[in-house]
Amino acid sequence: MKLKWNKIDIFILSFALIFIILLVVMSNIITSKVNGAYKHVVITIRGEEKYKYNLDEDRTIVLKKEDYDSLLGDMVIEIKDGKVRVNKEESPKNYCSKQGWVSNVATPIVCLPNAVVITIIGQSETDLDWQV
Amino acid sequence: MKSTNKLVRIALLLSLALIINFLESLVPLPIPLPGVKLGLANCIGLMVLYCFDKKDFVFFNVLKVLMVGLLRTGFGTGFFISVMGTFLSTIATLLVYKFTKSSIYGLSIIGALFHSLGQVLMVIILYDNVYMINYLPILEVISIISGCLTAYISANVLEKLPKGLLMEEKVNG
Repeated sequence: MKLKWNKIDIFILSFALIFIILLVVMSNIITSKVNGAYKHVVITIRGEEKYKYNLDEDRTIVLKKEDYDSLLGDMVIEIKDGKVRVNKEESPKNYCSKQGWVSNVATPIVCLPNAVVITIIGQSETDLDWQV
Repeated sequence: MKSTNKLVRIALLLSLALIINFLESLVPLPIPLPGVKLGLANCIGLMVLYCFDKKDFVFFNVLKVLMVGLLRTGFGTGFFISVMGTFLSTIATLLVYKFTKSSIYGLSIIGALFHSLGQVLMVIILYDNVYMINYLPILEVISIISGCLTAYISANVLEKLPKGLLMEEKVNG
């Protein structure tokens, strides 16, 4: 083994770069397959799946503090134009309302202080059983 | 070199790697990405491969994973993730070492690349979440950078170390 940079290292480096480009292409294919035509918004409170709505229908969901004791305050979730966001919530740092609109299946909205997780689930025609 | 002599040297290097691994976990990197670290302990692994044999490199890596699990992280999810990473990176490094005349830089880059690949594969298997693959390209870019860095460090250390400190041809007593 030599300690100086040589030609074969350049081959290895270019192999690595090609590998990364292939990975980007592959991950895009996988995500777009699952991103399919029809999507759902799933709201999970304390690990239990509570609500499931179609992402294409605009609506506003209000979770009341009286109904769920894990909430620190009332929580308003908005679905609009195929995107979802947390409009209002009570938490120390307000991460999930700062996150803003989300339309990607790969990005969940997690509000840990309230124990609420909002994920978008896609279903393609081939019915892949990959979990989000 | 006598085998006891070699064993002691490898053990010293192993404890050095464990200390580096521990110190590294205390210093947070200014990158807001989970699971990213420099992997400076891999410098020691490269030195073992340079100074000793392929078998000793495998021996060193297996022991390092076990010892890190035993001393710091425990045998939970993180252990399996690092086992998979070390497994792939050791195999890839040895293949490149055997079949090409790559320098320490190429070996380090390949090792880092396959280490993060193995880790992400294990995360995908354990959490049943294919979307982690979206995270892999970013990790791999960082891996290449950190691989170059570790190779640079170990090349410099190996050049500057007095000859005979690690690999000694004539053993006196």
